[in-house]
Amino acid sequence: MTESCPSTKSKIENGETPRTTGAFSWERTADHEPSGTGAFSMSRAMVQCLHLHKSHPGTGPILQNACLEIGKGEWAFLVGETGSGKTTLLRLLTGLEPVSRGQVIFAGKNLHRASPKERAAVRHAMGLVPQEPKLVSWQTVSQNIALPLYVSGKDNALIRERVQRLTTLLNLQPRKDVLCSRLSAGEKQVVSVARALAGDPLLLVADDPTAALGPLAVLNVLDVLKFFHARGTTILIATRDRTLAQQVPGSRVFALQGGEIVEE
Amino acid sequence: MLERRYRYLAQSSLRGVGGNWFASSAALAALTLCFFLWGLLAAGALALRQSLPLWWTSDKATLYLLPESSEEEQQRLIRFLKGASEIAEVRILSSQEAKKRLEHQLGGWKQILSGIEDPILPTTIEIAFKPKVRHGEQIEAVLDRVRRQPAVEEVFYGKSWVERIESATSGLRLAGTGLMYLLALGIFFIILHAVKSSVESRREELEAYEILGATFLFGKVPFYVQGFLLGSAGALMGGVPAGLLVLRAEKVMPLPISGMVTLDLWKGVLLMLGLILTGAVLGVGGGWLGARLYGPWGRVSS
Repeated sequence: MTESCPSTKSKIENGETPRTTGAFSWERTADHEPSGTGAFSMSRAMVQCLHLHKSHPGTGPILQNACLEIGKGEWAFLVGETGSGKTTLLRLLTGLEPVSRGQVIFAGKNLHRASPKERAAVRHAMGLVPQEPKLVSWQTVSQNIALPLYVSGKDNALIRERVQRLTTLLNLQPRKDVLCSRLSAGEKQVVSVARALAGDPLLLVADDPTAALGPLAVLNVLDVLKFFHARGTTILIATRDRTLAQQVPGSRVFALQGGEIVEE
Repeated sequence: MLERRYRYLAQSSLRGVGGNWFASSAALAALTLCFFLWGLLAAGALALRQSLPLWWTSDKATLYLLPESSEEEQQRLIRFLKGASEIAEVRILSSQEAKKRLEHQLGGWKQILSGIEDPILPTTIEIAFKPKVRHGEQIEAVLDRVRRQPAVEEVFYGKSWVERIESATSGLRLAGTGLMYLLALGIFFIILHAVKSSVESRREELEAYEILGATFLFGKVPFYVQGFLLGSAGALMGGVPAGLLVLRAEKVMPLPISGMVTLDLWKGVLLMLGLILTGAVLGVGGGWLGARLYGPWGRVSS
């Protein structure tokens, strides 16, 4: 079953081009390419969810026949109320949870049939901002941001440069040497965003990344995301806040209704 | 870069032990106790195994002669014994020599003989068997022939003692082996639960590694190292003193216990190294299973 779902087809496949905006400079060199993507063929769609079903034992279905396709370079929002299944969808989409039925295709490869090594490669190519920041509490802000770069074996100079740039962009410079256990909830969320961006991901998947942030911090995070989007990063953000999508003109908005995905 | 990764790994592993110091200390104390008991059992079994053949080879038969037996009968008996192909040595002890030997064997208890009129013991002949006839049936056949000699009143052979000791030690060996298995299981579960507690306390961090696709070196290996450290430290702290105690026991314990715990130094050292290696292996095994069972990874379908 590999047919896509027409109602949620990517605009790129329909002939539209992604919007590009940029306010910051960041050189993307060969060395900046996300590592570990060799196992995946690059189709027009960055990620596809095909007829996804998900239910947990003892509870009703969370997702039913959910279909979603996001093209390379697109920016999409997934909106829905608390408990609508946004987090579950993102976890399925990133391979952090198994599907009950259906497929998740990332860069042409069925993620849930991939080997552990291939899944690790996918994670290196993705940036994930979880609902809870999930930081390494005994490491500093800088060390947490550098973590995906340690993991993918980048060299020290690049790590320093990326950490310096991201801490500057996200106003974390004064806090860069502070242990993460001492940060506020909002600061932790910003660090989580910075960490997801440090690997220069092909796809950024963020689960309510602005939930704990004040209005100015939200604007700043959106500006940074716009900069990365302008450089080609595909972005998918799950949020309860529909107004967030209004701040990104040209973005696509999907809503989760009764376990199905509908494009608005 | 490799060096940075391993530095991170070392930090993370030590964090697993030190970050949850109460659970780690409790686990280490329990492991030390388990390894101490294990070490005592293993070293004791080894010492017993080393001692038993000594008793067996030093086992001799003692022939008590009839007091009314004539000199000629005694000489005929000695000729018969010296002519037997199974007997290596024949030694005649007069009743005085037999008494002296008994007093020596009794040590501090020799005063119990005071007041008993001589001769306490009759003239006796000690015979030692050749190495090739150390099996019970062969010895019994020789002793049957000896018993039929006219000058012989009684033949004392410690076979029944050896059998009793063997039976007791085989029971002990079985119980000890069972106990050692139980202790090994206990050690494994202590390490498993220490790792579980560590996994629980670091769940958020582990989920971060999972998100980044760093499940092995960053996520799981620190728990293998934690298990290794706990297992080998427990073995070092518990097993080595137990081994040293058994090595020392020969010198400090009174007879006959000291004779039962003879252990060569090199065997003791090997045993201690073996215990540390076992601790390390059980530790890595516990760490592996703990990380596998309780870690946040592996939930993705394959």
